[in-house]
Amino acid sequence: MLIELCEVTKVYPMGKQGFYALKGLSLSIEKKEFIAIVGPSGSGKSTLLNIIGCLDKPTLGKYLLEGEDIGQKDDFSLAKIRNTKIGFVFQSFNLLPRATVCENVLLPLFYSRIPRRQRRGLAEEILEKVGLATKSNHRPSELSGGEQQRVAIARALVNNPLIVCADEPTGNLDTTTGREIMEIFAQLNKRGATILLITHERDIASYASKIIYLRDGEIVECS
Amino acid sequence: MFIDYITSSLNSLKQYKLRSFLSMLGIIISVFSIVSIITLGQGGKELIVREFTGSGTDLVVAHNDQMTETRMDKFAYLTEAQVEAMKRKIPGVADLAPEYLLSTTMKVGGENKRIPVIGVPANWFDIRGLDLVVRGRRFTEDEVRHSQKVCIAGQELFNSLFGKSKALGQEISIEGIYFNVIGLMGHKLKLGPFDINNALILPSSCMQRLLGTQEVYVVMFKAKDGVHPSVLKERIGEYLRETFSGKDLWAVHTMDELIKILDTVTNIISIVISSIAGISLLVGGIGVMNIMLVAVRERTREIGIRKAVGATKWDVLWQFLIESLILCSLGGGIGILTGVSLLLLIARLMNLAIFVSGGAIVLGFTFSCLVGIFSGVYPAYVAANLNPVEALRYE
Ligand SMILES: Nc1ncnc2c1ncn2[C@@H]1O[C@H](COP(=O)(O)OP(=O)(O)OP(=O)(O)O)[C@@H](O)[C@H]1O
Ligand SMILES: [Mg+2]
Repeated sequence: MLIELCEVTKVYPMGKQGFYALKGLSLSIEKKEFIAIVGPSGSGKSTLLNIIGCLDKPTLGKYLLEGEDIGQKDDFSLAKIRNTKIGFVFQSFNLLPRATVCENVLLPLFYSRIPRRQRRGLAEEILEKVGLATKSNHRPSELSGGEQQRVAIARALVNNPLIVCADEPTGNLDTTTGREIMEIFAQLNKRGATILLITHERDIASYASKIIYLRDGEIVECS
Repeated sequence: MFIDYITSSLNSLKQYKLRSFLSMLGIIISVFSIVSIITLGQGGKELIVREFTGSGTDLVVAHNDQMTETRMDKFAYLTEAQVEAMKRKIPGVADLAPEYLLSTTMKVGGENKRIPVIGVPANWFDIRGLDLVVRGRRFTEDEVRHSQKVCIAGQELFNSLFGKSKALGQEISIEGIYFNVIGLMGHKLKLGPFDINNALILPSSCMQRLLGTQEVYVVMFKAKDGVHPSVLKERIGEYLRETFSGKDLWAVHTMDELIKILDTVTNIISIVISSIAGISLLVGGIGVMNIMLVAVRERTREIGIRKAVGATKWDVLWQFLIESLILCSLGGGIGILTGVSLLLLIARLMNLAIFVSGGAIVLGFTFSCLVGIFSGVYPAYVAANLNPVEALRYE
């Protein structure tokens, strides 16, 4: 089992009792699954994905990633896990605006202490895969939304992660571009990547092998 | 690894050129003042020392040190032969020259003035190492040997006697004997036993005749290369004590002692001004800290992204610390450059010899780096401890 969540609760400090964004949620995910997380706004989708992506820790409950208890890890181990095992894709792309496309893709390699000389080659290889080899030296602002998201995907993939976490990756894109992006995810999944993807759109969710419905911090349906 | 930090820091400094420059300004100004103060202080001291002691500080002066003649101790003098002998007998003496002193009264501009007259052999000029003669020439050994009635007059004295435009070759009467002025001497500094601008220098042979004696009360020594003046001073002192049957009738000085006094004065000045520069450095550091805090806030999202792809706390900490360090050391560098070029310009314009002190440059640079670390630590700490989820959501 790749991912196991057991009674995971996330409480945000708010008011007297705090706000329960996740309420004792249990879930397990196998390798090579393609999972869509859907649900109304504020249902805790991002909160869940951030915990699975090791950006955040659960307040209560257990999260095992490849059998390791993430709750027990310190900051440095979490950074290392994010660097080597997780790839993030966000709705708003989150590229460094001042860096070139290539430099953005290189960023994770920089933190995995890969020698400078090898980095460029790896980045170009990945950019090739997402069809952006020619835009390597452009700034993100010079690219279309779809292209920017492909750069973000390239960045998420450059370290060969176990899991790709995508929080509404098509949310800022038109339907056609969104579909192109989803094709990339589908390809990745075919080649063996585990994908967790948040979406609002039904036809986007249809790419997934499994759909998790969330409401008010609880799983209401899983199919 | 660090190269990446440095390039990324330089990029962000490039992005905000004006802001970076303004925040550097405090550092630039204080490093600039540190460098110029220390250089001017040290250069000024060196200038004084050089002007005083000639080309080097290898001068030793021995002179009679009796306040009054007592029954027991007549004024202890050396003969010319004794002086000559010292050159051979005291090891480490490169050259020496006696100085004969006389004070004469002269009518200058309708007023009676006391004018110091110094009688010296021709080699005295080289021993003093001073470029005293500003017009005309010094006298030669031949002129000394043949007691030629020539003299070198202080510039001011000559001007008030004859007027500025008068040619050399005027005659000056000293104790009733006429001397031909072959050179004029002048010096910027009026320190020392007498004002050289209002004195006269004669050949020692003529002076002996004027005085009616060959008794020597002052001798100048030049130390050989590699012989420390203070060592020579001890040897001369010992030799003179023996000469005067164990009595300390003569005193011996090195120019080092003069330098030491100058040292304390310039040090006090440097300390006072340096502490002012230090305070401005502190204020500059606070400015840099402020800018770094603004930068951390502005780049919150960037920090979130970096953390999401695997940056540790230390990675983020280093990034901002190095940025602050670069900001300050760049400021320090600019301060040093402007300071040095301004000093060189002053030196060129005022025709002064200024020696840019390497120590001042190192000190200025070290301090700016320290300020960089000091003012970068807190902002870097804030950046390192940002929560990645919140940082990513930051608008
Ligand atoms: N840092 C926080 N402090 C307090 N409350 C928070 C915080 N982060 C999220 N929440 C709350 O937790 C709930 C779940 O948030 P989350 O971002 O997971 O929702 P979501 O399902 O991703 O919504 P959306 O579809 O709009 O992105 C929301 O009601 C939100 O207000
Ligand atoms: Mg969300």
